[in-house]
Amino acid sequence: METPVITWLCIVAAVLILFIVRLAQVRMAHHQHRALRHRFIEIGSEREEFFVPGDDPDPDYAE
Amino acid sequence: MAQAFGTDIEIVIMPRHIHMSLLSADGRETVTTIAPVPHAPISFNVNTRLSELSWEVADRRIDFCTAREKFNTIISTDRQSALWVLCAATVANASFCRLFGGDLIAMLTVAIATFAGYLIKQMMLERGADLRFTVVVCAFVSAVLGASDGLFHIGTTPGIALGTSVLYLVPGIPFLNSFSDMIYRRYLCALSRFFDAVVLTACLSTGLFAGMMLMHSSFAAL
Repeated sequence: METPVITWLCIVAAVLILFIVRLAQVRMAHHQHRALRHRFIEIGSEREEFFVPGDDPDPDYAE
Repeated sequence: MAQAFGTDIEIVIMPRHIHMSLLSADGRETVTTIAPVPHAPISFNVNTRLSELSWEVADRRIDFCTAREKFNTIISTDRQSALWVLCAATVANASFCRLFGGDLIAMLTVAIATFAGYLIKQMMLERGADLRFTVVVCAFVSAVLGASDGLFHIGTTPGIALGTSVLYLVPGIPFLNSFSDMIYRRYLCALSRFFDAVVLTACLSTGLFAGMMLMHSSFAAL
């Protein structure tokens, strides 16, 4: 009687993990899709507005 | 469709290739092409839209260029939602359980088993897994979950739950197509599709048997 219970528990655990992974994938895909949209009003840094090719992409630049 | 454009056509459809010869109206010019059939999941949405397009062409309501543009659009944009198909298959298989005399507990068990198995099937096929291996794995998972009623002694029809939990994997369309080809005397194509369906059925049986063995289940005992 142990083998069926162990098998059942393993399958249920595997299915739950796959379900969570699938949900995470769908959520990430939806988030990426939303991030690509151009927002009409957005709070961002001036570097994104006035970037000139050749600027040093310094992550510590705060002004 | 070929007649609508003033031509004639001969097609030989095999499971992995299509041989097509297009003949001009006067029979002086022939073009033959052989194309491989890409492995793709069955999409009733695409089939329906292509069927509508074929009628538009056959009724001469659109020209060749428009038909080709619509064809390219249809095959590149499948509008059906994977989640919707998953839910529909779950409800359909649970309904099959009811049709075979299963009680509400059995229907719920079959719904969960079908949901899990079909979800795994979608994920494996998206990653390019072989369909036969996918059917074995999904049948095994669905059989183990479908045997829950017998394992925990709940419900009154555990055998029906186990038996109907894998019905969604039965290759009904290849079987129907093979019989249709046989009726139209396309025997080579019929045999090819029939063997394809038999192999998938054997894979389903293997997964179901493995699940029943590990769960110590049998239809007679249940």
